[in-house]
Amino acid sequence: MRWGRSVAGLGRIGVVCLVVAVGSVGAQPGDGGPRRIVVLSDLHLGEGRDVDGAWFPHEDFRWAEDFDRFLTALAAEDSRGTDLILNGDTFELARSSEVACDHARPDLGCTESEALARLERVLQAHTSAMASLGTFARGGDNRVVMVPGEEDAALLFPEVGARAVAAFGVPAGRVMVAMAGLWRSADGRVLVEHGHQLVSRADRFDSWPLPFLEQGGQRHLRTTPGQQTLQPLVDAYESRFAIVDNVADETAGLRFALSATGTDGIGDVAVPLLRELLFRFSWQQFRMDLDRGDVEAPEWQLDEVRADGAEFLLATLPDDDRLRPLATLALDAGRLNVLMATLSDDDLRAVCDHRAAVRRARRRFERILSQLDPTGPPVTECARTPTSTGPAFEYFWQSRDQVFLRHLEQRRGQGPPIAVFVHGHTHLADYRQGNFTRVEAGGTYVVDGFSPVRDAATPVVLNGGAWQRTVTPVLLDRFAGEQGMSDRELLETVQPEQLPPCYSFVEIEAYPDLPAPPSLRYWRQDQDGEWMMAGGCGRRVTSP
Amino acid sequence: MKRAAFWVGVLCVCGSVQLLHATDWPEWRGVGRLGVLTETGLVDVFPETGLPVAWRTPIHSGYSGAAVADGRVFITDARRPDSRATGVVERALAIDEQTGTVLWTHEWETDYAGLQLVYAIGPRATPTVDGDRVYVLGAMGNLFALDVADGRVLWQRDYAADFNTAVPSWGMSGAPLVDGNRLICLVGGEPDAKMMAFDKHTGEEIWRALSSDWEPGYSQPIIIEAGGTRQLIAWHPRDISSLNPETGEIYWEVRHIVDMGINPATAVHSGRHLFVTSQYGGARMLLLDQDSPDARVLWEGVGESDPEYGFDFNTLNSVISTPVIDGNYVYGVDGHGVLRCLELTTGRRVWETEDLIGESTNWATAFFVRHGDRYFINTDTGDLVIAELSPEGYTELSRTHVIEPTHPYVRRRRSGVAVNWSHPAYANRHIVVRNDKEVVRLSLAMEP
Repeated sequence: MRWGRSVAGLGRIGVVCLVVAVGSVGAQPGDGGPRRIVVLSDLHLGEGRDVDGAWFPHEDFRWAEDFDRFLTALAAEDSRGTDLILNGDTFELARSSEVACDHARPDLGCTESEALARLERVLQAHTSAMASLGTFARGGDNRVVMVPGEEDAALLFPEVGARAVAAFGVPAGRVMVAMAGLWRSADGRVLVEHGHQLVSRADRFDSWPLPFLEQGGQRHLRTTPGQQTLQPLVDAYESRFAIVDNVADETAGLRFALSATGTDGIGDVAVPLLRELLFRFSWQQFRMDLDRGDVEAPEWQLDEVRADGAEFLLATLPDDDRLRPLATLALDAGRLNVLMATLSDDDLRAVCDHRAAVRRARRRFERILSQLDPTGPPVTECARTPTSTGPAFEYFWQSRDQVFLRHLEQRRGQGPPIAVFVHGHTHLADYRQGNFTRVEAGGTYVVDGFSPVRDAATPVVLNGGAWQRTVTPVLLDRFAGEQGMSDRELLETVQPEQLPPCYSFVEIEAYPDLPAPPSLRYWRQDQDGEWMMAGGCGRRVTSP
Repeated sequence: MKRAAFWVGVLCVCGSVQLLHATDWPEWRGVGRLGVLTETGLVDVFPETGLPVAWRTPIHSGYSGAAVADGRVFITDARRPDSRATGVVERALAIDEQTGTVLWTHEWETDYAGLQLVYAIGPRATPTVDGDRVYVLGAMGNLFALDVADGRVLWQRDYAADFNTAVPSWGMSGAPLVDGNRLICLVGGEPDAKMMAFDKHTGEEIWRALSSDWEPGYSQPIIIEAGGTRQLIAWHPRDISSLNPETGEIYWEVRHIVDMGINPATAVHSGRHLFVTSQYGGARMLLLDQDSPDARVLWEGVGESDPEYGFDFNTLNSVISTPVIDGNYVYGVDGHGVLRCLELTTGRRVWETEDLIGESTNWATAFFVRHGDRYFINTDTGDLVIAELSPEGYTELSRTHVIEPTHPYVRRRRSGVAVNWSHPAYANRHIVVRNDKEVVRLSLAMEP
């Protein structure tokens, strides 16, 4: 309540800006000239430091100076005008140590005033970062758009969004909230959205971009299934291990935490946790790289899969998967049967695709593509239908294709074809597909990366990762191996500041007609302390 | 003096190979797989009009290099009866070395489904000739022992059918290696049949070794002498393994994971050093124990899967090209076509140049063959270069164009839209090169 009272006046001021902003989302600037598009995802500005001046363990944004340098360098690169898209989870409003949002029903989240109070706490903790953003937004013909994610879906409350806009301290029209829950360029060819609505069951809102429930005459933010069941577990882990949320993809840290702490006390969370991790978004993020689609993907014998029952799910996990103890526990307790019974044919196909992917990734050491630990034993494939058996049919991308294809078909609407789709959410950056000319046929085929539309050069899909310090499980394992650390020692020891000083973002150069292919770029610091824009990170986890 | 010592060394290393004409090229990278040319009387400067062509013989597509032995050129190729289907007909050919006349062919049907189809154009492995037998391997693991005289099948194996091999994305590439009575092959079979030795006369299994839970990779096995022991070096995407070539017993293994399983380059041995390089795995220089079959890592160079890639240049990331060790230096072409010189004992980059390939471009390749104190180098642009390599730099002495690049390539470069990724054969003062249309023999003789 303390925060709610203090922001009331500011909120009213901001509402005017918000309305203007909402109306102009997607519009190109006044002069109509080409504009650069820069997308930053998952800043995760949180509550900052505690009363003793120490970072809260769950504070992921500890990089205000790096951020200011970055924005200064970004502004210096292009003076014509940039659309800076803050692509979701800019603010961590789904948790707070001071403002509880406890209500009668588990699906009832914060009211608008409660969310406003949480935002105010975050803004006070990050005045420097907000000042840097304000400076950027005031420069040239720049504009900043905040696309809400699942952590800051409260921006869709008008007063919360207005307060966030006001915090930039810039003239109206320079900063706005994407009230559509996504951002699309004025020509409709570039689509940017956070990514939580893509596939992940746990983080998905049913009624996006209106993630609200009415109760007792009050509007509440809806609490996603994941926030109801998994967030307490994640919060508990992160309170002990500060880097849990910095391991990319977003669920990889959970696996480390499970390994470090064991499965005791998981109880009823086991099934939703398994479901989330089994169907985690990144499973559909493997790239297609085998061919241009000349060979049909295998068909799985789903009747055999169902006949295997819950053992099928356990067998999906390699022996050394950090999730396997939890799955074993759930199997022994009879809980995996419950999960198995809820899976649709599409779900089973996705798991079988994934098993094929894991098998191939393990056999080929595909950590570049999959970020799977490549050293463990492979798993077996699901049984194939007789017509799709054969030597080395190792195709697995169909689930991923379907995810993006369906999503983009829904998003296209009446507008022009989407040429570029940028998302984040998983914290794991992924390059766009490349398109090259095959010599013999002279046609354009996708032979590097993947395309949601087979044989098509567009839309280009790119995961921008997170503008925070992240680490992949492979690099974390490598560090643990070098230091001789167990998972528990690793998580208790490594702090976010030890992670590579490197932040990913996406850039689409200003274009007159059709967008150029987007670039995945990094703001990085080299060994000598120099900061630069680069095509990669070039750094490892460092010892404290 | 330097050149004389070199020839003595070559003769010592090659002492164990079968009786062959001194100037034949019976297997991958020539006698002993050393990439060494021992002939004399070869040109110092190429004619302005190009090398004289002895003959051109039409063939189908494929990557396999030629083997030359006892007056015959052996090569493999493939054709697709239906360009829209993945079924292919692979073929082994014997060609008269002097006239280019096709002496015999042997064909077999297979299916390239499951391979990365852009590159699924034909066999990869260079034939291996041993006396009256030639061993050929198709891209899907069809192994044949053929009579060199008439192409008659003496025995055959199908890796997938006989040993449950899951053929990797770029096909089976390991050229069979003859060692005594054994034919040692990179099979990738299960269980534990990544490497196998067959009776070279009957095809009966003698031993099998190494798990196939991980892909076999694409590197050629070699046999070295180190620590007083003959060692079969099997470099595969998980380890560098040293085996007893007679039994398959593992002497030592050094863990070295090569992401994507892509390790086409051949391990290079020189004295106590053993060197491997790959695009994703980077470089590893092993120091071989001098008293027993053992090894340890002397230095590591980052690969494309390491975060330092692109920032640390004290490494070599060859994609296809096999590097060379010359004195205290390593020379090789990295994955972007840059010729690089590294210090043998530290990996420190001494110099690099784009002059050999002509540009920095993805997956560019060159094949090095040492000739005295100079090198014959085939670039994947179809050029043949004579050059000197030293720590002072790259000195190009002469260059000529010998073959039209026709192999598929999925990125553009200044030299054109296709490449030539087939290793040439050098035999009897000639070079034998191939593309997807023809095999060509050109004279390297100083005096025509």
